[in-house]
Amino acid sequence: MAITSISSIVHTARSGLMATQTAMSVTSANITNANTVGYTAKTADTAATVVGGRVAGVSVVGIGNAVNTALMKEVMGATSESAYDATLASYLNTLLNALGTTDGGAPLETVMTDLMTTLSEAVNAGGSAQSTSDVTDALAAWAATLQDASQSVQATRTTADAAIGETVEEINALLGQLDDLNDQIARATATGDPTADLLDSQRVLLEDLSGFTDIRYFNTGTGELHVYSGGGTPLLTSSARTLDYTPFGTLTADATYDPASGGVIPGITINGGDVTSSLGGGELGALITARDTTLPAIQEELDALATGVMDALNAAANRATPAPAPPSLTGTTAVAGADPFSGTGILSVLAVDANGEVVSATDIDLSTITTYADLVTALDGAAGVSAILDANGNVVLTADTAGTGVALTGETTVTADGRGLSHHLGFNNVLSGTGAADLAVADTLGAHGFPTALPASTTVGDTALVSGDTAGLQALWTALDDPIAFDAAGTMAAADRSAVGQIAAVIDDVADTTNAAADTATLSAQTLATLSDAFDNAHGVNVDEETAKLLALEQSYQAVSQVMSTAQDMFDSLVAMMN
Amino acid sequence: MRVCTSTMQATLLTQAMRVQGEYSAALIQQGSGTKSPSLAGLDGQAGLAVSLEADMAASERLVSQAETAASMVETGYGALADILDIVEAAKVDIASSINGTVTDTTTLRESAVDWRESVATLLNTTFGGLAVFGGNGATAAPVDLSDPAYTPIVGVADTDYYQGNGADWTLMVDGASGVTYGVRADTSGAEKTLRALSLLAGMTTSPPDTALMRDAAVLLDEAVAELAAAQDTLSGQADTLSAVIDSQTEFQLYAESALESVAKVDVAAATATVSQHETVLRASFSALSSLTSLSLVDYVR
Repeated sequence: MAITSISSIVHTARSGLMATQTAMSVTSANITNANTVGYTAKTADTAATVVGGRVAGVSVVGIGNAVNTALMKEVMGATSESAYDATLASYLNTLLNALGTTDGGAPLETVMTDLMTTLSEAVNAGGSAQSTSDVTDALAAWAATLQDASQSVQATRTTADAAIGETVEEINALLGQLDDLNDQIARATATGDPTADLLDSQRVLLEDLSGFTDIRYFNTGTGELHVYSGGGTPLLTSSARTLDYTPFGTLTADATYDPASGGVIPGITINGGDVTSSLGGGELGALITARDTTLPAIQEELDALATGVMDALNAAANRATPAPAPPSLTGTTAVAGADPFSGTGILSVLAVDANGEVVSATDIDLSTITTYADLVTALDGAAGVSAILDANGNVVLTADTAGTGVALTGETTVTADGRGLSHHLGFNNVLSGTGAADLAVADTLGAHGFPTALPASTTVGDTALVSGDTAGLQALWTALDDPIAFDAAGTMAAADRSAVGQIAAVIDDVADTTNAAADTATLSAQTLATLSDAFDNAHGVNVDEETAKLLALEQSYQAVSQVMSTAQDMFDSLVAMMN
Repeated sequence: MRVCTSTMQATLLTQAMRVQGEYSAALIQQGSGTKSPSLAGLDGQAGLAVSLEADMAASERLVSQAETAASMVETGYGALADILDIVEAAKVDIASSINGTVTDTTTLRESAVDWRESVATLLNTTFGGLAVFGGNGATAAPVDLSDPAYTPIVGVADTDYYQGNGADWTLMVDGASGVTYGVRADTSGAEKTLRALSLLAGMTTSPPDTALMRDAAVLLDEAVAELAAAQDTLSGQADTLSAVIDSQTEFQLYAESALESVAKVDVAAATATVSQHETVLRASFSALSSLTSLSLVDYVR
C-alpha cells in the first residue's frame, strides 16, 4: 500500500476546487448566454488525474458540446427552403395586390366592363361622334390599364433584380466572416483552446447563409469548413470566393436573363464565370425564380390577354367602316411590294359620298393576286379610288373625288395570317401593339374615324352607310362578349373565353399561384420551426438545469473545502503533537 | 424531453403571436365583412369573384338601358295613340265633307293644317333628349315638314320630311346582334298620315275637291291599320324589354348572393371566430406568464 501524505490530500482537494471553479465558470457562461442566438450549452468534461496508478485529483479535459450534425444539416436545408418559399410568396402577393383586391376589384375587369358599357351606349346612341369618342377613350383606358399591369409585373421584377444585388453582397459578407472563423478555429485547435463557442458562431453564420442560398458544407480533416453552393460551385475553400452581380436597373418585358440566347440581364459571376444556375434555393434562388420564371409567366399571360382582345376587336372593326367614309385609308401593317401575296374571297372597294350612297364599286378577286405590288395595282384600278404603297410600306387608299370616301367590304381571307384583307393591312384597326406593355389606340383611328357601320349595299346609287347604323359597334361588342381563342401563355392553357372571362382567369391564376405559394411558405416555415426547435431544445441552455448544476457545484465546492479544512486540522494536530 | 429555456419562451411567444395574427385577421373579417382583403384569400375563387363583379356591372348597365328603352317604347305607344285619335277625327270630318253634310271645306282645310302640325309634333316626341321616332341614336327632331324636298302628291310615298336615322333603336343584350326597338317617323303609317293631312291642308275649297278628299280618306284608312300594327309591334317590344329587365334583375339577385358567398363572411360566424381566438389568445398569454414565473431558484433557497 502506497503512502499518502497530507500534502497529497491538499493537492487532490485543490484540483477539485479548481475543476469545480472551471465548471462553475462554464455554467455561469451558459446562464449568461441563455438568450444568445445560436449559443449551445457547454459542459466542463472532467477526468480523474491518475499518478502512479492512483487517483491524485481531477482535471478539466475539455469544454464542449456534442452537436447533432445531421439535425443541423436538416435545419440548414429547411432554412433555405423556408426563405425561398417566403420570398416568392411575398413577391407574388405584391403583384396580386397590384392586379386587384377583394374590396377594390380588379382594374382590368373594371375597364373592360366600362369598355363594353361604352360600346353598348354607343350602339344605343347610333354611333354619334360623342359616343364613339367615349369608346375611343374607353379603349385608351383599357390599353393604359394593361400597360399599368405590365408595369407592375416589371416593377416587381426590377425590385427582385435589385434584391439579388443586395443578397449577393450579404452572401459575400457571410463568406468573409466564415473565412475569418476558419482561421480562428484553426489557431484555437493548434493551441488546444476550446473551439465550441467559435463553432456556435460558425453555425449561426451558416444558418444565415442557408437563408440566402442553398449550400452544401463539410469540415476537412484539419477542421477547416468548406462551403459549396447547392449546384456545387465552391464558395469557401481555403479562402472565400466573391460573387459579383450588378443589378440591371429598370427591367422591361424584353429584358431577360438568358445567356444561351443573349439576354441582356447579366449573370452572377465568380471570377468572371457565370454561376447563376448553380445558386438555387434560399432568398437568392427565389429572387432569381421570380425574376426569370414566375413573373415573366404572368407577363406572358397579360400579353396573351392583350393580343387576344386586340385581334378580336381589330377583326370586328375591319369588317366595319367609319361613317361617313374617310377620304383616305392608311394601313398600319408594313408590306413590301415584291413579297408574295395569297388570299381568297372577293373584296368590294367602294367610293361613297357624304350621304353614304355608293358612287362607284369595284370587286377584286384576291385569288388572282400573287404579290403585294399586284394588290396595290388592283386596288388602284378600282373605280373612284387610288392606291399606293407609301414610304413606310403601308398601303394607302384615297378617294379620287372630293366629298367621297373609301369603304371596303366583302368576306376575304389572307392566307398568311387567316385575317380579312382590311385587318391584314390594318386599315380600320382600333388597337395596336405587340403585347400588354405597348398596347395603344391605333394611330390611324383619329384620322379615319371610328368604324361604326357595315356597308349595307355595294350597288351604285344605293345607300351603303345607313345613318344610325351601328352594326360595326355591335360587332365590336359581340367580339368581346363571344369567346375569343386565347393562346396558351405562362401557366395557362389555350382556351376560348370572353374578354372578361379571360381577365378573371388570369387573375384567378395569379391568385391561386399566390395562395399556393403562401401555403407552401407556411408549411416550410413550420418545418423549419419544428427542426430548429428540436435542435435548440437538444443543445440550448436550460436555465433551471444550469441552476441545479450550480447548486451541485456549490455543494461539491463546500465538500472539497471541508476536505481542505480537515487536512489543515490534521496538519495542526501533527504539529501540536511534535511540539 | 429536454427543453431549452429561451426556445421554450420563444416558441410560446411565437404561438401567441400566431394566435394574435389570426385574432387580428378575424377582427378584420368582422370589421370589413370580407373573407380576405387579398384575392388570394378567397379559397381559389378569385376568378369567379371578378367574373361576377363584371356580370353584375353588365347586368346593371343592361337594366338601366332597357328601362330607358321601355320608357321610350311606352312614350311611342302613347304618341301613336294620340295620332290615331287625330286620324279618326279627320276621317269623320272628311266623311262629312264628302257626304255633303258640311259644304264649307275651308274649316276642314284649316283643321288639316292643325292636325298635320299636331301629328308632326307627336312624331317629334322626345324622351330624355332622345327622339322617340328618330331611329337609332337620334336626338334631333325627325320630322321637318318644311323640308323643300317634301312635296307630297297622291299615289307616291314621300318620306323626304324625315331627318332621322336610317337604323332602328338598338340595345345590346347578348349574342351576335342587338335587340331593335321603337318605330321610326318614316314608317308607312306615319308617312300616309302626314301625306293625307298635307294633301287636305293644300286642297282647293271652292269647289270642294271631293276626289282628293276621297284619296285622303283612303290613305287615312290604310294609315289607321298600319299605325295600329305599329302599336302592336311596340307592345311586343315592351313585353320583350320587360322580360329582359325581369330576368336581369333576377340574375343580379343570384349574382349578388353568389358573390356574397365567395367574398363575404357571415358576420355572426366571424364574431364567433373572434371570440374563439380571443379565448385562445388569453390562454396563450397565461401559459407564457406561468412559464416565465416558474423558476428553480424560487424553490432552492
